[in-house]
Amino acid sequence: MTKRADELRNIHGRHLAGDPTASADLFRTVHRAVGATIYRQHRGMGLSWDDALDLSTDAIVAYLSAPARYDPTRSSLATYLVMIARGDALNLVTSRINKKKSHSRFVELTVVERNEGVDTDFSRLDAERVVREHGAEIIREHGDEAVLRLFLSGEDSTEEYARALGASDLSEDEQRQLVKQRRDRIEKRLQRLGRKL
Amino acid sequence: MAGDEHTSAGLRRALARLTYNDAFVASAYQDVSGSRVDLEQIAERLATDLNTAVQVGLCRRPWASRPGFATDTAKIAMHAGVRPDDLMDLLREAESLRAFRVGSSSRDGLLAAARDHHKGGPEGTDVQ
Repeated sequence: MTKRADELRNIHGRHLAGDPTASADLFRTVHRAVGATIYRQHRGMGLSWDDALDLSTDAIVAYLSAPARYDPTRSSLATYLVMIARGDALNLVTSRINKKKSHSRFVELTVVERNEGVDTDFSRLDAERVVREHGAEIIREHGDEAVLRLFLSGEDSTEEYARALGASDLSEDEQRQLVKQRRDRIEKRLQRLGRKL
Repeated sequence: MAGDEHTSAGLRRALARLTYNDAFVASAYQDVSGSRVDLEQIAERLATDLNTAVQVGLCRRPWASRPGFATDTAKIAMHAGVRPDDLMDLLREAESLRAFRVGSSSRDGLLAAARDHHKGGPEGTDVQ
């Protein structure tokens, strides 16, 4: 058995016995090594060194909060920690990939929607998707949904927006001011949502 | 990425991640520091260097209100080579500050509730 394996067995025993310093020794002994293993195995998937260190920290904390789950007869403590960190690394990488996909799709939707040459049925279909999937985050007051749909369909006419807002009776200047204000708000919310996704 | 310097930076990063985890002394550092942990100040209080302050922060946190406080604190102090009294003072102060913050937010809540009641309930309606 290696010196480190001996040391880890000792730390495990001390932690089970309630020694408050065992956790610090565990960090000192394996934190960097677990991080380095995870980094080597997942850097190709976009994992950074800092991510790997955080995953190592979280794996050690998970072990410390439930040490009885670790069975020393089955593996070394270092292997056990790498196994926990590896699972979390895969979850992190997958979640980032999904976020990226979601963001690309969102950007694609908003950009395509404002393209004048786009097919009308397609525009309507994707506008439906944005309203369905993200409406709760964009629509806040009466008229927002109508403005959002017109915006996504690439509508530029102030008159159309004013009609949707029930403001056709206002003067041309008032209409322009109101429409600009409402369109700007919707656009900002779309941009914020895009950054979040 | 090899070497003591990197190991130390890695452990400091771990410590920063644990400041919101009550199981570690790191959370006591957070309690005495307020919004952002000032590790240099902590090291100064413990009359030690930054790396030792990190090592202490990674230990399990003893609570003055729970059994074994003096024994565990002494164990940590001896392990890290800091004065037990310094560590005990810091942990006690951290716990008092925590209790004070929790107490003051509860008091604020009670005062707000009392104000609402005086006005006739949170929505301005009478409480039955």
